[in-house]
Amino acid sequence: MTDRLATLMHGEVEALDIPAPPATEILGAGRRLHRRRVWTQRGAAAAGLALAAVTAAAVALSGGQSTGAGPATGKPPHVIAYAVDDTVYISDGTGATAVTMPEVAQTLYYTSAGVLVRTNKDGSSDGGAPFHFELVKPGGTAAKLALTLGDVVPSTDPSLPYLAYAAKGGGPLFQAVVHDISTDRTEAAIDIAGKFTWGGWEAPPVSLSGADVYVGTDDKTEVIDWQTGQTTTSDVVPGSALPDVEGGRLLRAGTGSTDVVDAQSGRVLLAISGAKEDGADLSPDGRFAIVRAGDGSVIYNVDTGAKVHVPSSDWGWSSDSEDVFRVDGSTMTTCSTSTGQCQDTSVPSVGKGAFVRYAGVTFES
Amino acid sequence: MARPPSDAEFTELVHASWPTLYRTAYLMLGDRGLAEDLVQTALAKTYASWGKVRDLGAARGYARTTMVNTATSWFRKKGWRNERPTEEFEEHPYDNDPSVRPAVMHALAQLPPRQRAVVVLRFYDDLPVAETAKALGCAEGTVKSQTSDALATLRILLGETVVPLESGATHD
Repeated sequence: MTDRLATLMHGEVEALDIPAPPATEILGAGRRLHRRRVWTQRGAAAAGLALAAVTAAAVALSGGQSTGAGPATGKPPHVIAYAVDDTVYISDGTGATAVTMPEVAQTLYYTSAGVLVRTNKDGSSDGGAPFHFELVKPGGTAAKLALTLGDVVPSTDPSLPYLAYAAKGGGPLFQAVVHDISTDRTEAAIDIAGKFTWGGWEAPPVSLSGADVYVGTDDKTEVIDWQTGQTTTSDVVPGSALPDVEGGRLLRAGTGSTDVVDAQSGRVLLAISGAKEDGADLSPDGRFAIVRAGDGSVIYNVDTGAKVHVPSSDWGWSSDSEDVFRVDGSTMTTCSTSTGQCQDTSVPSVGKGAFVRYAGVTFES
Repeated sequence: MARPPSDAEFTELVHASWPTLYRTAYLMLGDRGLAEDLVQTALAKTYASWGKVRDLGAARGYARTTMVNTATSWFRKKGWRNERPTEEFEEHPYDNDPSVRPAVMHALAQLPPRQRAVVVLRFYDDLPVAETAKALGCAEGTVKSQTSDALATLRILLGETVVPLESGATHD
């Protein structure tokens, strides 16, 4: 019954003078996009090959099981970021540049465009809305984003310039939104099919990993390819839970162990015997897992199973996951996630009772 | 991850899919320059996401889905010129005089962007409801309601000869 309408539309476009496709430009743009996504994946793959030879020995040392799959994303430039009340400190490991925020820094996210700072009135994560966002660029300049969020759980991937979050759509559905923080524009907004009644947030929590946004809806986690809008249900990431996927990997409770699992295939990449899931975290790129043990911590290389011990159980991550760090008084301690070697650097003193947030750590409640 | 296509393979894909994608993009956007930008962006994203595309046979479908999704993202950006539909229509102004009916492009331009995309995908690309919903990243019910609303508007603008009263219910 719409044949006439279809005919009219065909008539309109059949008469179009179609320009020649700029194939060379498209190919170039595609290559640039591809490079931006995989970042230094080739470097990571090369490192994986070099380490593969010692995998078996490393597994024996760790008491774990490694299957050696590569991370989903590469590593961004080396930066360490933390905040004390309304001041963000950006460091390359040899000092710290202070950047003042208009509010208290609540969470710091690494991105390829700089350090994204979520701020609010008092730093609280529970009932702390409205949240605002400042992008601190590598040079230490800050720019306010035209983005205000309610009580939701957003997410970044350190190799990408995006913030993902969920919000109420126009109708009854929620939407997964991907915001380009380098341009301060919404890049995609895609309907979420599932219901959301658990958790108490305004919208389901999300986790951004590469081209996928993991959305924790009721009883299932939806995986949205935000470029195509195609949605699948994850067989690996549990529903009614905060989906914490880093570099395509997540932590999952195993039998007498905490397992690092490939978020797409469900393959166990590393089983950490005796570790409790709530005492473990993944690095921002998913290459390392840190397990708190007494007064110290053990850092595992997920790909090789190799482990190193570091003092203290309270650490943030560098943007490239090469270091963990902590600040005590006027000393910032950084420890290599590969060798466990630590070094101290003088930084502006942190007073007792100050509100301190390390980048690379999730603060949600 | 599947290897990216060779330059020759991808160039062949660009040339083969460009006209079809360009026509759909033009109908959705109503602007030749924007249509060109949209198709370029979609094909570049297709190249960059080759690990998900996996082979050349699936690439055209992936490019179309990416194009539609990119377009809907554009629609959501503040200031998109077609963000708001025309608020009031003169009731059946053209029924008695087909010679002064506006071109279909002008009628499509009166639709909100998402409705316009639904109309193009369903009645130009001839996609069923389910595939349209998949391409737009929304529920099938949303596609149906937007189809109904869009056809109601087009019926006013183009007349019942072009958009008969029973149109929405019989196309699926």
